[in-house]
Amino acid sequence: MLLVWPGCTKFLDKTPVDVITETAILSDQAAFTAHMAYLYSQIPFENFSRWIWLDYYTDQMVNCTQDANTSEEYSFDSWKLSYTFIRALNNMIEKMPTATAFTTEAAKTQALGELKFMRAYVYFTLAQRYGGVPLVTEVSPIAKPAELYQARDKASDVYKFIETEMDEAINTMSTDNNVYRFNKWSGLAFKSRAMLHAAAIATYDQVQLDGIIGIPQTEAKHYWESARDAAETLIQSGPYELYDLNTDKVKNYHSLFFDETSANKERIFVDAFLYPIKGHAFDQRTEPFSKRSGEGYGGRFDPTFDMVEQYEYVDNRNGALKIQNPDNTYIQYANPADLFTGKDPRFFASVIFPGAVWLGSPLVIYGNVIQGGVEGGGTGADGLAQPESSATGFYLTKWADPAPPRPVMGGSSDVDFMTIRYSEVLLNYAEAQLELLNEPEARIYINMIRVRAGLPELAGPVTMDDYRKERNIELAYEGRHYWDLKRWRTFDAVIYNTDTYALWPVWNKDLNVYIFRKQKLPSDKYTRTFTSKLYYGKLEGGVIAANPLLIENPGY
Amino acid sequence: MKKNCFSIFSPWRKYKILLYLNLTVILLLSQTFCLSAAGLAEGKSGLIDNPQQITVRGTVTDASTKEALPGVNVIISGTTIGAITDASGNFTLEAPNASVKIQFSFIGYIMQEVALAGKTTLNVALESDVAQLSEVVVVGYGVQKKVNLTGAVSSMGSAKLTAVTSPDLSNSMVGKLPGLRVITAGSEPGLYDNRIDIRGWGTMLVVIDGVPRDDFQRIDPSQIESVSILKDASASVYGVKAANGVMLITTKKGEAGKGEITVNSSFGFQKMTDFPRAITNSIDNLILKNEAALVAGNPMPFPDYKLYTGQDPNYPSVDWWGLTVQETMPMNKSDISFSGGTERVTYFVSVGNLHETGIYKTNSLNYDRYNFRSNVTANIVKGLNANVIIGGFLDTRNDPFGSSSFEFMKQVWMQPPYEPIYANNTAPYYYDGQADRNPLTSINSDLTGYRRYRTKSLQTTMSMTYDIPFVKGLQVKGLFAYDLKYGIQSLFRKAYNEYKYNTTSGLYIPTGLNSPTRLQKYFDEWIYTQSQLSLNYKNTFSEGTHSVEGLLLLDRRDGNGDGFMAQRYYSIATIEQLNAGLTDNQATSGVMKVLDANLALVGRLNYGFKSKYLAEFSFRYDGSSLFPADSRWGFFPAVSLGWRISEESFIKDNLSFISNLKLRVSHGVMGDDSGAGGFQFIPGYTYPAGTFKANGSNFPSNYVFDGKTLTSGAVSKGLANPNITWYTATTSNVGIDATLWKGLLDLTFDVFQRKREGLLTTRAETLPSEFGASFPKENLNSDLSRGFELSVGHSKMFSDFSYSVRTNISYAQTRWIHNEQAPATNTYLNWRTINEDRNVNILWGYGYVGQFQTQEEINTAPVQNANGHAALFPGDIKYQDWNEDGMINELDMYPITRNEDPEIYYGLDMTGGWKGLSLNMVLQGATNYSQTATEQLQGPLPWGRNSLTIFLDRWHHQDPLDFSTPWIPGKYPITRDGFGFGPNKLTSPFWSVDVAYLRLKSIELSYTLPQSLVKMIKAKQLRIYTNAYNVVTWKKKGVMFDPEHRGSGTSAENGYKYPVMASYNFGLNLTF
Repeated sequence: MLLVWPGCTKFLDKTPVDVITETAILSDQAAFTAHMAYLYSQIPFENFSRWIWLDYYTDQMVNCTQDANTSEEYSFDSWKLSYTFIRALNNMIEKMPTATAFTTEAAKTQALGELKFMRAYVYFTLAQRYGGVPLVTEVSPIAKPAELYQARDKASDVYKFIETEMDEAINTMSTDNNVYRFNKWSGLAFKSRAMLHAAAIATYDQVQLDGIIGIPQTEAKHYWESARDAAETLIQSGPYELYDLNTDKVKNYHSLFFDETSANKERIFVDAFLYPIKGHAFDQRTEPFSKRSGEGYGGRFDPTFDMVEQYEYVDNRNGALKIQNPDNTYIQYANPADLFTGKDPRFFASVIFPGAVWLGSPLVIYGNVIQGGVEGGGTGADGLAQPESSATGFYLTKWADPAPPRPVMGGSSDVDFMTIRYSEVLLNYAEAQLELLNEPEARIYINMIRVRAGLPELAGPVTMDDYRKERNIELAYEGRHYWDLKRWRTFDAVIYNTDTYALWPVWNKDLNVYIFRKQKLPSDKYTRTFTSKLYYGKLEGGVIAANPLLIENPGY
Repeated sequence: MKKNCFSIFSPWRKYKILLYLNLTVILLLSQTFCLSAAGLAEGKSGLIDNPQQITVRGTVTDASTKEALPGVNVIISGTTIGAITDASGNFTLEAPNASVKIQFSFIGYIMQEVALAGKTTLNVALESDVAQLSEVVVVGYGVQKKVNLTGAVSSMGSAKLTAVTSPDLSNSMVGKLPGLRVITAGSEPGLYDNRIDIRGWGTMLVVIDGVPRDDFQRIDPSQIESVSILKDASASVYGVKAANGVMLITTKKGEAGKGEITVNSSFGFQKMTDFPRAITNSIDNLILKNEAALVAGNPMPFPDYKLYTGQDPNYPSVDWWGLTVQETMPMNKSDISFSGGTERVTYFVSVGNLHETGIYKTNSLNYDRYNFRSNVTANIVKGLNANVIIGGFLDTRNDPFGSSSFEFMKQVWMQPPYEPIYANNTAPYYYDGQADRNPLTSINSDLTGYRRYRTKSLQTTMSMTYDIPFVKGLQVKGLFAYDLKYGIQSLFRKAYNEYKYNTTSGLYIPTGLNSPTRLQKYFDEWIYTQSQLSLNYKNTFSEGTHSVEGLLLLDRRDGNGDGFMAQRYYSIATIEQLNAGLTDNQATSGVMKVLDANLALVGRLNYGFKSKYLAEFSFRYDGSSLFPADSRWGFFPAVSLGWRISEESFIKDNLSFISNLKLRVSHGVMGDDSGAGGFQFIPGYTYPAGTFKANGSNFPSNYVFDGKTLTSGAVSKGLANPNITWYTATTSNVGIDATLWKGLLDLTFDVFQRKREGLLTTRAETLPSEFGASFPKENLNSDLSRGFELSVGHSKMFSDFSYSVRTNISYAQTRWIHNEQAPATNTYLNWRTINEDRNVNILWGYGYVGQFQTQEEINTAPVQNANGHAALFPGDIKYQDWNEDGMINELDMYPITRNEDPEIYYGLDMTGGWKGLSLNMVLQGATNYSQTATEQLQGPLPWGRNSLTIFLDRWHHQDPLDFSTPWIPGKYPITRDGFGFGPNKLTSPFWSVDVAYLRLKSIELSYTLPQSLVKMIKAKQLRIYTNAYNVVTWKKKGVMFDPEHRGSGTSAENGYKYPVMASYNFGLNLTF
């Protein structure tokens, strides 16, 4: 019996069927692409995949299940995930010289460029959240934890690294306009975003913790120029245009977010979704109450009253809603939608409101009913003030699919997300020019955006406030506003014991007319404060315990 | 000479059989092991002709009653030639020569061996064996006489199993085997939710007919011969996954004799045991809602609550529970078996069916099972026996797609009675209420679709034994098992609507649910193979002074699985076939599952000196595919010793009332590879990568590179542990077996401990996050379990009356020796969090010192929560200021009780028989654990909807809605909206109640009709019976619900788990 023993033991050598060796990753094109797919999925973009709800920490919108404390300590636990990602990137960058998974040298150069750009970009997202972080650029072998400790680098060094690495990648990446992966153009676009952030930090923030957070003001000019130059190269040589294919400006701005064809030349970098194999839940989360599916949710992205007033009228830059007569009596509207007549077309393309027609029928939103001359409680089919309906009287419709698979459910939406679009680059360029005191050049691009939107051009000189308001509206709810408030250091002015207001329609059943009140939402949930410590996030739980050399950000 | 043709071989025939033998053995070996076994041809001799047949006749009687004994096994020693006595105790057999010895054996009697010595008639009287000294027990890879056991082994026969009619075999074992714990966590048809373990150790290894196998709970009890559990080092011969003990199930074989047909059929019903109910009328509900609003200082939301009588359609009052749930559910079970055989071939064939219906009135939840089994043994030539066992089952579980039972319970409990059934009270427009689904739609498969789970399992075992000639007692055995199992799931989600009514337009506004219609089919296949090749040796020397048994065995197991899913959407919801679906958005997926493989060399040596001093040594040299080549192999020895003190002359001569007294000691080490899956020693990239977690949500690790096609990701597996290896379990056991006064008192006592070392966990020391990877799992943790079992029995037989009582109690507790944790930063946290050297079942919480009786008491109490006393009312829970700092906070937490795993488990098994009547009763209970109320069990009005009826018994005002009237005390605090009031819900003995219970687990009364009557219908035996399961429960005061229902004990299930069932059955058992 023992004779059969030695020959048998081999059958214990089982091979896992779901594991690819590193050799295969480096030598097989499909395996390498699979690893790249994983790496791309790890880039901490704020899009449908990860953090679309960023802007409800700002004055732009709230969540119907809002809790006033949700803006506390925003860092979104990105530290550990990012460094796991960085280890994978460092590993690939180190091993690229030995990689053979490419048919051409150009493909290999492009791949290395993408890897380097990813690494630079993830360091940018870390620097945005935390300030300076340890720059880890090599794969360490496992060792005693104490031998692996590394302190935080200065923020200015991290940004220098980001700039250098991005440049190196931009210079080697392809000029093919593949909107789904990094190339020379999307590299330039993201670089303008990163450099704009660095420039604003240098200009408006202060250096603290011996430079671990904050950039010396002396470097501001360099970064404004760097942002300007990146945007300028792209504007001059890149294949992009503002989307302007519909004469109906409302339809045009709305379609911009749905046109997934190459005719949409505003797309620079796109995170693509495919129903049903890769979907997101945006429609489910924003759905008006009466249109929800059995899975519930809805009403999670509610533009605020103040945000709605930010939208200009086509003929009037003051966007205040006309709810009262000069004698302070309320204006009666037979059709509630008439309240918004004349607003910026981007408003109609981004927000649905009482009386707006959505999916074939008008939204019925009211919070009180006057019957027999007496005002009492009552709620329309789409709210207000019931669980999972809008808290503010408004629902978000930017990206809300006008023809989604109905009823919508979690994971049933597949509208792509433009992670960066041409419009942002133009605004980045305009901001850099304004900061560099070149107002006439900035004005050209701001007006390009306004004209495309269907608004009259601004006569000069354009102020910084004009610019910021335009940026606020153009890029609303896309997650940019959150970072703008942070880099301009205006968050604590905008959100400081700040009440949130709803448009409170009251339906006069007797007369079948509506009046509208501006109503404060309950302060225990909707009155928020952004304290200055929140400009930089608290280091993710456990990271300091695991590395005593790390210093916590101020105020935590 | 026709009868003897099997033993008379022509040369050619001899040659053919030799060839066959060799071929079979070689085939078996080459299939089961890598090489053919060259040396086995020496089996060629040993087929000896002997034409000198002698016909032997005789009668077997009971030595004390002088009555004839039917069914006695009569066998020529050392052969398989034998016969069985008929109804009059007579037998006839052919002896090959006049000098053979003949053995007479019968369960419950002492075996006798008689030399034929030329006689042709043998009349034998057998002595009854009350002490069951000759009882044989199935142990690892063999059988052993109970008296010679040196390990902790408990066993039971088939009669005990069939005394319970239940879908789940483990229900037939409850309370009968000391050390085996069976907890009925829930009784959902087809889910087999019982928690079963040995000595509280976790999932045990189940070996069916010599092969580790799944799904033992589905076996029909009538197909089982015996069940043994190995609780100590005696389990270590099974190694690999046996650290939690082993259950050995042996299925029935046929017996030589006239063929028998047995029909068993029963019908009955199930009824849920103590299960919480929700309020069924609107007025009670709305009083609570109004009261909650008043408590919060708000106006009453339903001042007109009294109108909700259900008479006026605008003021509905709906008993949702009554509309959806049935109180009794039918169940029926039947089986038929054929058995019999000749001296050379025996067979047992059985098929059975079980049907159960679930609690929904729609009957959309139901379960069907078919069992089959065939066991054929053939004596091919002298000394060569072959056995083929084919067993299996086909089962189908149907569940409505709308909700799982968990979701249904959650919903029906909170469904407001003031919501109508139909929009505008018009059928079939089911009202779209606050809940995800209308409870009436969620239980209706016709409306919402179904989930159908089918399993097809085939378990085959083929074995051959060959008695090697010239070496007495040496036998070679080959076994090959091939188990095949298919899991086929059809998940049919059917789109349907619920409605709201628009009074203005007069239209029914639909809400689409389950849309679009979709069919998902899953097909999974598992294949397990097991091969064993063993040499057995058994002999006695010097006239029984020395008995020796040896085993050397090669054991190889291999498992593989594969599966795929296909999914399509439908525009027409009526054809639930994949081919009728839309090709748009169709999806498929498949996953190959590599299971593990094991290879082992097992050895065992038993030695007995005069049946007085007994010793057993065993080892297992184990290899597992879950470990890298360097750390794959382990050598795990075990030893056990027994001393039959009763055989010593100082007992035998002086204390004759001691029939048997034995001291046993065992100690062994076992390697276990549980939890080591996933190729943790192999670095590389997982493809396709699953999801990753960011901010509490899962995101896919894939990417769309061209806008059209999805590329799956390949993610690094992280750091590998190249040294990952076995954890070891060292088990020690000391036991005493005693039988006094020839069985009037029978006692077994065992004390045990099991120490596990090298349990896999992740190092507590953490690598800096910036390193970008974390430590892999390593063999770091260790724990220790200790306990005892006591079993006491008493039985007595009179001429036509007999009874026996056996009680057992077991106690087990586990504590950490090392639990890898980061060191605490201060002494308080060290005490609070570090659980080294601590019992694993500690539940931390706040001391409960009663409910506040008055506002004055509140005002003078320690500060109870962050709000001070502001929100407290009389009736609210008062906590103990454990650290006496004047306020209640986390620092007041201390170990208040144990978690939901019982430490003490006991059973009492009673049987009585008088003539044809027989009664069997099993009482069973457990204690030293707690039951914790969570979610809806912990507060009224969840999500502002309905409440369980228990919360009506609450502190309230005399007029509940007039707070100026005096307080009336109740069990629970006053009503608050939405799950009650946080400070009332802290973990404390108020919600985590210590449990003790005793339950009349099963009772069976049966009557075997007298032979005279039975003969009239030409039958052999007719037995009619009635039995019941989970009949009566006595539980400690304060235990809220069924004490076994684990749904109410864990926060994960919040009591929503399917209820525990009692069952009542009537049946008959007819043998021809």
